[in-house]
Amino acid sequence: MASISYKCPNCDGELMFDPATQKYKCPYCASLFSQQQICAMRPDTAGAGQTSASVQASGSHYGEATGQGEGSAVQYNCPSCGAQIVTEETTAATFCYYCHNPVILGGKLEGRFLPDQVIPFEITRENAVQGFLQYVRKKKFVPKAFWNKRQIEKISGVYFPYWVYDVELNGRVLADARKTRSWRSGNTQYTETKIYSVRREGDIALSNLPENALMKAGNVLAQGVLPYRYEKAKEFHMSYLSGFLAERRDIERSRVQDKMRQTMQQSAQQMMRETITGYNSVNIGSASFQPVYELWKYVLFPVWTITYKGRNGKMYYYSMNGQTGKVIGELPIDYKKVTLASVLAAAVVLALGLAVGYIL
Amino acid sequence: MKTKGYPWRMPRFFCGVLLLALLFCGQGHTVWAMQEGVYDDAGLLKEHEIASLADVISSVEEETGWHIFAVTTDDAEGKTAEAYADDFFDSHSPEQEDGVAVLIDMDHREIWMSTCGEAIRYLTDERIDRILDDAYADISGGEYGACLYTMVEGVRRAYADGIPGGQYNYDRDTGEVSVYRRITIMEALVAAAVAAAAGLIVFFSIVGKYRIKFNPYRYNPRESGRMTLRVKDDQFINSHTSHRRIQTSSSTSHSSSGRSTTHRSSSGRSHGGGGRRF
Repeated sequence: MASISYKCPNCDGELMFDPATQKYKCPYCASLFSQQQICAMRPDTAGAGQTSASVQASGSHYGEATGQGEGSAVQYNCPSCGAQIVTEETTAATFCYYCHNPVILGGKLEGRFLPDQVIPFEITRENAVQGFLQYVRKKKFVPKAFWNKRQIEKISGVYFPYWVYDVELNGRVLADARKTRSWRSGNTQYTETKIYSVRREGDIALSNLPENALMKAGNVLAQGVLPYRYEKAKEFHMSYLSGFLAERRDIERSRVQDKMRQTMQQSAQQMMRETITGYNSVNIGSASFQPVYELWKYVLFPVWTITYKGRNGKMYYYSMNGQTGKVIGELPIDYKKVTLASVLAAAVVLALGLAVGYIL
Repeated sequence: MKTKGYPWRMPRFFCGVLLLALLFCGQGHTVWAMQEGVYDDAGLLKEHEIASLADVISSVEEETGWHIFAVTTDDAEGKTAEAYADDFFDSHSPEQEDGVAVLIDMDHREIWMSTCGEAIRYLTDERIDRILDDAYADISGGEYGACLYTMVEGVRRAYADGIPGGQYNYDRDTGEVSVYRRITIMEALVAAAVAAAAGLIVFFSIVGKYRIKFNPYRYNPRESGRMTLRVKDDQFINSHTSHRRIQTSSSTSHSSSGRSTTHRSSSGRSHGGGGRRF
């Protein structure tokens, strides 16, 4: 298995993907290269992570797992300094501990692990820090003295693996629907109920249902950063990982596909139900949705992971969507403030309730 | 009132002798009546009746904080029973507005209850009617003391029962309505329960949101889906019509059961009340 780094053709520095320009930037000579230029340098590195004149690979093959199964440590050689890099089984891109150059462990994303698409980072590290601080400052119920930029222990840009599911369904819904009309004549109230048999048949195409494909990501943080703007998804190129960490999936499609299919069928039923309008009540009798086309995509999503050390010494972990800036993570709570807000809300409701009781 | 007729300019000694003489002759009840709210100007009551009336008045006054007067007269001074009772109350209770005067008017052969202030709210027309029903039974049998006693006891009962729900004062001269507004214990309890629930919802929703207890993401098919309907068929099956009779409600928004009809007395005070001829 080869480890790869992308070299600047001008100064031989390590090229990194720059979210601000969406190009590859050399941190030494500030040269910028487009994706086309990177591909032109070595067309066959599109997804396979091969080496080239400017895409230098370490020929050493230290990719032997020192253990078996998940969580096994794997050793690689840094293509820049030759130092040994020990990574986890799922790590696909990292930095050399010694020379801090980006290292892409190409072999991790080959074959069946080759992602179909990648959504590149759009938020820079600086913007991520600012966005995170803005997010936490907006939260009214965190302890006032809790947040400080200096308390950010670590911020890393990581490509996390997700399954993304597209499906076309042939569906049919049968329902009983009721329309009621009420009028008054003299002292009598009349209610007319008309009953209809409703039938809907059609084709529904649903796209981009994501599901976490990495066990250690944790469902709350992995789901919490969603959604992404899929129109910005690109065909996967190994070079996008340069300058970031990346993880390979360890949750296979077979483990999540039933759940994802069920979500899509429920969504399809909801869409078809919404076409039954103009009735006072609708009772779905039967609904069936048959998939006629399915597409499972393995996609890498950009996430900024932030480790924050609270002033109470506790570590807090946050994820930020590397495309939209949405932040998710457990927040410390100032219970005095929350209690005060709750009591205030209760007092307002009590006052309103008493006022209503007084007036009526 | 008897006091008005007293010979103020007589020597003190003569006055004292006269008072003693009145007491021993069994006429002294008028003196006690002044002190205890019983004014038997018509001389209809026996001494023990005055005593028991004074007791019950004292007890009701203590209970209610109102002024209560039991009055008899054989000369209404040209006024109606209503006006006499109102004026009697106003002149004997110039400071305290809350109270009741119950009257036996031998001039018009009429019994009357005049209510004032807070007592108007408690003694609605309906309640006064009920009290008068009971009092009428007494006075028909010539039981004057019992009649007044029944009326005063009626006041006590009305106070104990509290202001009825939906009570309102209706000024018969102007048509003005003054609805009694209050918060019942049940309303207060319901409001407190709803407020507590609201407080808890706020508390747990904030804590839940900060602790990420709720699913932070839900797939939205409207954004990521499209649908082409091939069949859109709505077939009418049948229809049925049901009907129900609507309970007719009163044309006014206030029921008559809570009404206290009021009027202005000659002093300008608002009074309620009612009476019955015998």
